[in-house]
Amino acid sequence: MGKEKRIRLKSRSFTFGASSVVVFIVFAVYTATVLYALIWLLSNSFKTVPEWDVSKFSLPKDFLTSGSPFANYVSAWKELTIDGVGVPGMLINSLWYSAGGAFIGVWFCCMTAYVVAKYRFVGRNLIFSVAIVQMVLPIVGNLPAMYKMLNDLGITNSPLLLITNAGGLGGNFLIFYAMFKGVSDHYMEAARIDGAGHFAVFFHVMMPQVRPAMITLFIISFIGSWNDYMGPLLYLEDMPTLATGLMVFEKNMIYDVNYPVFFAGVVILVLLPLVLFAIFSDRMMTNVSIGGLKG
Amino acid sequence: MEKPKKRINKNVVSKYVFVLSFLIVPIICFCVFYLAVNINSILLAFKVPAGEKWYYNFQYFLDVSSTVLPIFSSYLPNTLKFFAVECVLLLVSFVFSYFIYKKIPGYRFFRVMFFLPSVICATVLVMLYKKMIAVDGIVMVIYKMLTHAEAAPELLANSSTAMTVIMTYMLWVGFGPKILLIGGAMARLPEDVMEYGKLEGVGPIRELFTIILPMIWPTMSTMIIMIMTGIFTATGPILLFTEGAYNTTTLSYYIWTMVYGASSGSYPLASAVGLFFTCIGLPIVLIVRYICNRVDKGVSY
Repeated sequence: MGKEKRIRLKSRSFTFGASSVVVFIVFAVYTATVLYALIWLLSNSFKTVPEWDVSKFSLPKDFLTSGSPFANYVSAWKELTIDGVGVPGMLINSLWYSAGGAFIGVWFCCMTAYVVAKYRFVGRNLIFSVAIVQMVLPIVGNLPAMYKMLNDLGITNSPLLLITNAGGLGGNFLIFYAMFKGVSDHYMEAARIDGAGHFAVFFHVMMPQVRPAMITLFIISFIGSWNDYMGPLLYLEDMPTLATGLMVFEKNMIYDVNYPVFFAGVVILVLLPLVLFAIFSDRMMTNVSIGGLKG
Repeated sequence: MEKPKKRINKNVVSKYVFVLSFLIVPIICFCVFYLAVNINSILLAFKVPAGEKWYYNFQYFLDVSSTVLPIFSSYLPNTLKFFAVECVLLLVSFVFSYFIYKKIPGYRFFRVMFFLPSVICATVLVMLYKKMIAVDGIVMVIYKMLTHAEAAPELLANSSTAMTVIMTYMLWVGFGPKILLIGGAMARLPEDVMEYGKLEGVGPIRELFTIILPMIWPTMSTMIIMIMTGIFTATGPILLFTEGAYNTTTLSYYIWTMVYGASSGSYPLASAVGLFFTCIGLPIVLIVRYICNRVDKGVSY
């Protein structure tokens, strides 16, 4: 092994050679940049305006001695408004848009995948083929037609927009399909012999088998929708979410913005996804996988 | 003889009622929001207004290839640059995942840190990134210290550097999902195969490309196909960075600007641009998919 130091870690061995040192340094530098950005955001959200004006890099000091350490957060909650919608309103919009969209998207994918994986019926293979084709078709520029369709249906600027998530196909469909395929049919047959109907088999026998994956996919979809800004900007112009609201706010107030208060609003935006990630990171990092697209 | 037949029919009917109850909403949504939308998109691409009537012809396609010159001189090259970033991200993520799989010290922490940007809204990340590279940001402070320059350059407000800045941002935030998927595939590899390779004296590079790659090929090929599917839709968050200024417009952003805040009169041209590039992209994706399937050695474990 020459000069290389060999470290044994569980059953997988790791050779700490020159390439690993380089990669470790790259990883460390990358981590430092991400952490720096987040710490910078958090520290500046506690600064007073004079502190911000003096230095962008120093740590906040005045907030500890002032009467209210969370004054910027209170101001953000009360003062940041877009077209009359404040942070509480944006938060509500973000919540229904994210939770509703994630629930509808995951639920209908689960239902579609279940019947396609476990039942033989006319059109079953067609649905699976459509799911594959839909994923590999490189469609460019159907945005105008989609926008026109949603406008014609009158579901823009309305929670009814969430129905667009009920297509039941896509990546989540394939994940659920693989999972239901992996569950033995014996469970279904045993339940049917005991007198359970189709719905009872689904809700009491099959659903519990995929619940962990369902929760993981829900959280991933929720975070994706929470962070989405293009969709709400286009389809929910009168109902800004936190992501679109703060973006518009920054653009509109670029020369006269109280940055510490704005940063406090930004922290409110990132708080929920970060808390969810902190709680479910293990689940998210281990439960997600994709297979091939043959078919 | 009658009773069993009736029971079978009743079972079949109840089965189909159940299946239909589960599929009816997804089928309607698929027909309305996928089939109808895409059919409308195709029709829209040929729809030319003439007074109060509409005609269908190829006028917009002639516009795409002749009058809308920025598409080929600027928007398409920019789009392909972002596509190249996606390819680089996949390759680097594959190598990084290997080191995480081999449990480099602190691998759990690094894996979380790579995924962290995927959890944070792009609006926030772009804002933070812009603050870091601003003339008074940390990157420029370090730049001035190292080069002893008196003034820091405005990287985003410059046509020659703006694209590079946005592409660097894409590299900064883009590893997470790829490392997650590739790492997930590697984590499921059987340990004894790796041990056997080690006993045979297989080095890290050979292990990565001749043992691991074929075994996780279904995951890799899916990711390659997904990236190829986005060949003409690849884009960075142009809206958040420059709103298309400083020669940063991509095809996706161009189509977006034809819809957001624009009149419906611009929809047909946007649809024609989309259809034009869909027609070019389709054979490319099919060829790549065919090659990916041919390369697949069907390793099972």
